[in-house]
Amino acid sequence: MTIEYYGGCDIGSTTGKAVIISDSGIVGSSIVPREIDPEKTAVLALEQALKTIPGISSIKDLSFLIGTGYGRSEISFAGENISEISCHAMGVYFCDRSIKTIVDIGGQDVKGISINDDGTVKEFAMNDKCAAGTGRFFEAMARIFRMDISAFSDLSLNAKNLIPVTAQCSVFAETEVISLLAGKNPPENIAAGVQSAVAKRCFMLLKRVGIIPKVTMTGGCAKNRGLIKAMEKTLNEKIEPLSVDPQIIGALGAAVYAKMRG
Amino acid sequence: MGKPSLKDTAITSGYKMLNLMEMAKMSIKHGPFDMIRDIRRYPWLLDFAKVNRLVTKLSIGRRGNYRRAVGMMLNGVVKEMINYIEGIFHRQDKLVLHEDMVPPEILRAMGLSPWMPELLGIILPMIVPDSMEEYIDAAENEGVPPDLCSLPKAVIGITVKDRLPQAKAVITSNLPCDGGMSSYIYVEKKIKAPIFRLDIPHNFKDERAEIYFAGELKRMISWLEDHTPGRIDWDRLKEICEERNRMSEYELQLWEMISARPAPLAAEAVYISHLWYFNVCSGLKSSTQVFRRLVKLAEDNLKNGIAAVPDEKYRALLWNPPTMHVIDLFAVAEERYGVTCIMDSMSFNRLPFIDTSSRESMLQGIGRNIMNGPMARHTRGPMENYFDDIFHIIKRFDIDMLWMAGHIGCKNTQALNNIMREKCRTAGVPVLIIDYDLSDTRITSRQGILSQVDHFMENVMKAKRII
Amino acid sequence: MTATDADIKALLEKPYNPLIQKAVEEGMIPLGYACSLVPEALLSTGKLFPVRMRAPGGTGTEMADLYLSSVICSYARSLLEFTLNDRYDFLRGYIFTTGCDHLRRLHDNLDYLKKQDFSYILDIPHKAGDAAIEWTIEEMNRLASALEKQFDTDMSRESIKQAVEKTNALNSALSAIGTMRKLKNPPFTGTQYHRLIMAARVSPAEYMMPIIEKYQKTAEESEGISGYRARLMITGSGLDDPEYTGVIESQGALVVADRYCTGSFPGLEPVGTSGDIFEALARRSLEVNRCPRMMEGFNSRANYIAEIAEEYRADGVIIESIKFCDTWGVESSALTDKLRAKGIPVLRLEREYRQSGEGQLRTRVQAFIESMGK
Repeated sequence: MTIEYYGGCDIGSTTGKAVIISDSGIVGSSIVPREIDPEKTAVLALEQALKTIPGISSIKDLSFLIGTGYGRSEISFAGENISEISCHAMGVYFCDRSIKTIVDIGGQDVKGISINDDGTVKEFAMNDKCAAGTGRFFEAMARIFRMDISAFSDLSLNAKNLIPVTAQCSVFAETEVISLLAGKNPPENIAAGVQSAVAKRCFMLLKRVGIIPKVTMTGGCAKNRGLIKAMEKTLNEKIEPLSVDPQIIGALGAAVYAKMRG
Repeated sequence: MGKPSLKDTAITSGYKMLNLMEMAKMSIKHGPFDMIRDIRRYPWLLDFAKVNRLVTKLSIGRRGNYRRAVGMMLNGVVKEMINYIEGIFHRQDKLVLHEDMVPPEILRAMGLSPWMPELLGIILPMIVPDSMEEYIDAAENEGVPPDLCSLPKAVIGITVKDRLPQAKAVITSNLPCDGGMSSYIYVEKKIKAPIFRLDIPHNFKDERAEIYFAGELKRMISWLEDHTPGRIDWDRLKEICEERNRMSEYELQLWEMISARPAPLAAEAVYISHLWYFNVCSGLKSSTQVFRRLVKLAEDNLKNGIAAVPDEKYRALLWNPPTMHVIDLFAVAEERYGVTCIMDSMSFNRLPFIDTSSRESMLQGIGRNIMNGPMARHTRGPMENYFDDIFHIIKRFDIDMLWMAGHIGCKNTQALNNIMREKCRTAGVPVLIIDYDLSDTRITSRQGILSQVDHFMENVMKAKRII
Repeated sequence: MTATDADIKALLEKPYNPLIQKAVEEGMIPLGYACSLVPEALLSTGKLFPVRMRAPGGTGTEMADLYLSSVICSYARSLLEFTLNDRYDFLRGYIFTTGCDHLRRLHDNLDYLKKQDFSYILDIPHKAGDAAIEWTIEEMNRLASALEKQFDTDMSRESIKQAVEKTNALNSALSAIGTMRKLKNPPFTGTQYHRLIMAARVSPAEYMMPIIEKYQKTAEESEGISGYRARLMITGSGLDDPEYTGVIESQGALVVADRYCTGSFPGLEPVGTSGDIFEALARRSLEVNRCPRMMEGFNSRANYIAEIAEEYRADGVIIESIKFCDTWGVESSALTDKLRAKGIPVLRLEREYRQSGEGQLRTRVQAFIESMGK
């Protein structure tokens, strides 16, 4: 009997992600930087994910493929496209059915999502007008601190105190951080202030959809350990780690939907 | 300006002691158990209990009668605030929530106990600068847009967090702005008490508007009689209006004196006095008493050739509500640059007296005061009101510069800022527009506000810092 | 129905559209307005005709931002920008209201920067009731006198009544077409209908009537639309850009009802002509219009939306509000709770006047449809 494979492809603002699943679960995945052409990004991501799976070589061999993310409507070879909001909910549901609330921090927006008992979306809220608290914001912050993003993510873990970063807008926050750094404040304490400010914004967003435990984080920024710590403190709730890379959850959800459709 | 004298220190300490005693009296009267229960119910009481911080902030750098005026005026605020709070404790059966542009005089004349939900958003940030932020966040969590003025946001937050007292009735109005008007949807939903909304015309300068608004006030009175135990006592209303008129007379005397250069009193002694005593507790003998004393202190200074700010270099007109969370803005500006706040948009008015010859004339007078009051004629009315007042005040009080407290949430005034810049440029009046939020320190911090002042003074006014 | 559809779309591309141009050449007098509290009928007597002010295809509001600031609603800013760019020079005057802080300040800034010969502000109370009706009747009378004086137009009650009948006829025709949206397979999309309504708001009634009649005939003969994923209702701040509805429908939704001041509910109700005409106009502004700038009546406004949604079998309601709109901003959050409590799925959107962030809008609408299980 041949094995059926289903693909999910999440074309985000900074990366492309692909996940292939079969009856036995996740069999392949990838994360690639985004090309200008979303369709090309999708091809690259899928091809890389397929590489590790024996007996399947081409996108055409997938029984069904669903696209998601901002570039979803540009993937002409996908059977269907579903919003990343639904896909994140389904991806998390696939990993851990006890999780009811998600904060998804992508490259250019932050989403709060609450999940129904069947993995569909109950409510969602999006904060997209301002870059504060998004992946792009953290990249800018890391640049100000002259660090790479992963070093910046860990910086606040060593903070002894927290210097509040009050500005709510990303542009003003940058100015504020620069002057705090110039004022010879310990960088880790400022970083803790940054993480706490972002956590607070996420908290507000989550409050709009209702915070029902368990809570998890998805998206690229879910790898930011300093932010997780700040989120746990702000929410007074544990951020449930996921069994798979939080960055591929959207693609995973798309693959799960593909399996349902296929 | 040197160190405060022993006498100065003693004056401030004395007022602080009086404030503490007032609070102790309130606690004893209420009883320890009830007090603890109510502190849990209304945690903002703890912020209010820190009121002596405000006395300290506003005393720094001030000497003699100016310092005494500030302490005395704030002590009066504390006393009346406590009386106000006791309304929640002891007179809940008569408690009526009223929006800040609804005349409390009528409520008092009806034997009702007024409570203004906006009051906490006005007074508490002066004491504890970030005190409104948890309420602002609560409102935003409810889905209220972040761009709404932070005062109605604070009211919504206080409401949804159940920190508003239960009342017999709610009275609100279409003033001072769309945001303030809309916020009462939340108060109505939460309080579940009957609500009456006063409608105030936009073109209010003719008799038609006065009659319409007086009609609204009449309808409000009969509505209150239907929905609360309050009954209008016209004689009482007449006493209140007459008392208010006496206070207005003192205020006019005070204004006359501060027109002199240098001014014998200034800043909060003038504008918080108006803000509080005219809007919260006009018509009380104790309020008039405060103004009588202010006049006396100013007179003494004038007679003895003493300026409130010894180094009065610049006379400023403050436009818009004061920077609540940096309420000592002028205490700092006086010391740094000799900038003296002489007059402000919230205090200045041209129609202070109420004709008490008949019921109709009293209602029209009260209505006229509201319609011509600062938030009404400047934010709801046409722009002519705004600019006519600015240039009138500049002339009458010999003003050198305009400081606009550019509260980001006040869309009405933000939309006139550039016209203001241009008109003032033509008139040769330097303008400082301070970008900030009325009650959210996270938008612009204290430091951020003070550095805007420094930039303006150093670059535009070419002023040297005194200290 | 493509032929008429393209013609209608062409009327919305710029303020000075071909029908206005034709009317002006024939000596008619266009008057601008920006708020539904304005009695269109008074602006339709004799040679006068009303033009709802829009800013189609605007690219930026730099000058307007300077004067109005960036915290004023982008509709008001866009109108100021267009006026400063001479795009509304063809108007012979405009009539504003005390509808909201943003439009009042727009009026102040227009008067300061580019005063029209006829610049009027109607003072409409913030609540209904006998005294407010009396006040508004007087306001209507004053406006009529001002128009009569300025434009030498006949403002007798008979003339006003004729204008009301003309406006009623136009609105009734639009309303009759709109009713077809109740069908399981309506003959036109929400976007197409939105275009028709908007075209009628920016063109002289005389020239618009034949277009509407043709539209109705084509609609009656057309096959209905099928295969849509969900039926939606849109409500919220004034929405004069049908292409916004278009983006919503691009996700497989069919917009079957609307409640915003540039739409079909409650804007198309006829004004009564049996009693005093000024009173009828006053009642229309105070009682029929359901803008949240009215202090009272939140529950009735919310129930009205729920009733329309039910009548037009909408699966869900989208509440859109223009950023910085205070009245709709606050109303939206209370309304969201209220409608959800009635079991109606709600998507709340904040938008700018000029369409931006189309991708994000698509994502939200798609996720909304998905969350309804459609």
